Amino acid sequence: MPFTETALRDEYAAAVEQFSGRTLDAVRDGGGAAVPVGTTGPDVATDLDGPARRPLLAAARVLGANLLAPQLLVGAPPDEATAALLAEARRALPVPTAGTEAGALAIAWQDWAARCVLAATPHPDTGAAAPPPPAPPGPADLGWQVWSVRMAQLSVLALPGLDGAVHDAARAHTLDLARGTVRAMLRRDPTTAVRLARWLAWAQADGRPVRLEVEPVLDRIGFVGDGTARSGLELAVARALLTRAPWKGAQR
Amino acid sequence: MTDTQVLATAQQLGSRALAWLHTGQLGGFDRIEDNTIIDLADPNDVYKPLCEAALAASLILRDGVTGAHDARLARELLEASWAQLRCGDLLYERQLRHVTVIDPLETYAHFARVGYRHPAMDELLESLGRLRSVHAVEIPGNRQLALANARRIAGLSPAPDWPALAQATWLGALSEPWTIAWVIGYHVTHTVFHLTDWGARPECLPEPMHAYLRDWLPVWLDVWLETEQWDLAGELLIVDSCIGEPVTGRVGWDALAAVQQPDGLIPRDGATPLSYDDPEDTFREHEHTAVVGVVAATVALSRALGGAPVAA
Amino acid sequence: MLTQFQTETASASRSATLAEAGTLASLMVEDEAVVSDAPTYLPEAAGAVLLAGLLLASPKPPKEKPAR
Repeated sequence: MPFTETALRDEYAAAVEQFSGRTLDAVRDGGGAAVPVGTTGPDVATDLDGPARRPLLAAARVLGANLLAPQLLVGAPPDEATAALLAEARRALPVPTAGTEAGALAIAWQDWAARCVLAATPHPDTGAAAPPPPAPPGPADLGWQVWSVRMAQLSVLALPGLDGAVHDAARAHTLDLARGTVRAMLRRDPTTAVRLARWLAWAQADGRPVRLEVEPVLDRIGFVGDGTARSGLELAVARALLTRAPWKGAQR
Repeated sequence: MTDTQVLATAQQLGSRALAWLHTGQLGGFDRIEDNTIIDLADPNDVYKPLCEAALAASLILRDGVTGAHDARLARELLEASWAQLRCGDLLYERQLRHVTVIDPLETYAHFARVGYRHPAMDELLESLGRLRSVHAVEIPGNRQLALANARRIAGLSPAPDWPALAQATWLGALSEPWTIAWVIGYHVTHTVFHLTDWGARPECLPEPMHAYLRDWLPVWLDVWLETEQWDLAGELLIVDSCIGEPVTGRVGWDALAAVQQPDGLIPRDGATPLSYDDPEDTFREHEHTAVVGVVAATVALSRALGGAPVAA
Repeated sequence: MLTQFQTETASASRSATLAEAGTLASLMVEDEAVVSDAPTYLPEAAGAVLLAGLLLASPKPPKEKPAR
């Protein structure tokens, strides 16, 4: 990677970390707002200007629907300022282009999730009525190993109120999710493991039989996680899904 | 039903591993020195691999699913091992001296099953079996099962409390599957080997353990194939056959077949087999994996053909 | 996609946007760990093996790998 791109990645990754930390705090608070102090207020767009704003928007783009997780998990209305920032990020930064078809599909579904959570706010997307992306291939096509890794990339979809083809796949293949989780744990890849454990927590909250006890996995990841706020957020969402169950998956 | 391509791969893998074992052992490796005494300063050195090769050969004869050539090699391996154990005298003397040691009984059971008997050993085992001590030795759960299965094969009474023995293992606890360690992997495989008598009695595996293995065996196999732990992966394939309908498909068989050398050697781990200046050292290094390969193939074929007859 | 990155005629701002899009994509779709750190033989975990005495049909601990 050229130096400038590396630098850009470092800068954006740092912003993702910072924003993840705020969101994590909000989840722990039980529904607070994720938007950093200084960006809230009546005119979000002008509170933080210039070069400092671009990484913030990028982080919002990356975290997507996760930004509204604090409220979604407790059934509260989405935080206004956070929603405004997410909507702005989606306007300012086009859907990122991935190098592979699978990557592009993952991003399309993440973007769908962001669109869905914004639909219930004063900042709905103009394309809110657009159809969802095509259903990703299932474990029968990919094998449970590859499929579970792809589900880990879609962990942002494991939120109350979101429901679609990816959720149907999660419901139908909880054993494959569990196998993927155990595999990631044994490979000592806690980043992948926590995202899959979040899906398991979601499936359990959805009333599906889950063949792996999720709580001990989450406890373990609490000790051996990768230490990032972004993974900490995944873990907190998973815990919240479990402890606040049973919520009912939104009707489509 | 196991797919026929898997069976073809298994058959070839096992047959070649058996030929490699046979060549090594009858070529002079794994010799018990004439002056060996029953205390066996280092039982792992020659005695253990000798007994393991005999185990593999005895399963071939027990299950009777190989061709005539492989059956002959198996019989020759058993004959040679039995001769080295001085027709059972060495086992008898070791058991006589060490009342609570399990390995002489464990080894003898596999010989006895296919017709090699030592009358004095039979009497001794009956006598020892009446001691509370023998049943109260403090050993890990999977070793308790080894003792119980050896007594079952040798036809010794009384029958143990199988459910309690099964329960007292890592597998019996239905442990969190992500906590498995390399050595625990071997504890799990042996728990299954002994409970099912090396695949002859899949119904003896308690149902919760059966369901648990069907869930997690594919994960463990995947993880240890990726890290090229061929020996452990091979033992997991044996387990897959021992529990009834296999769940892991062909991936493990293909991987083992791909690393097997033209002479039949299966590396215990790594992309290429570790090799030493002394060919006997190389043989010793990979001998256990050859045993695993032979047993895996034998049990897979036997189960696919409807299960082995259990020797009386 | 990739060839666009290498297009000499792309304007600076266009290149910046592409770099940014690639960066965002890599942050949004992270792959699993490339190398497995799965459990393997550990001498400190082998105490049980030694204590168990003779474990029929289970492995002896791997030897030190000799220099080839």
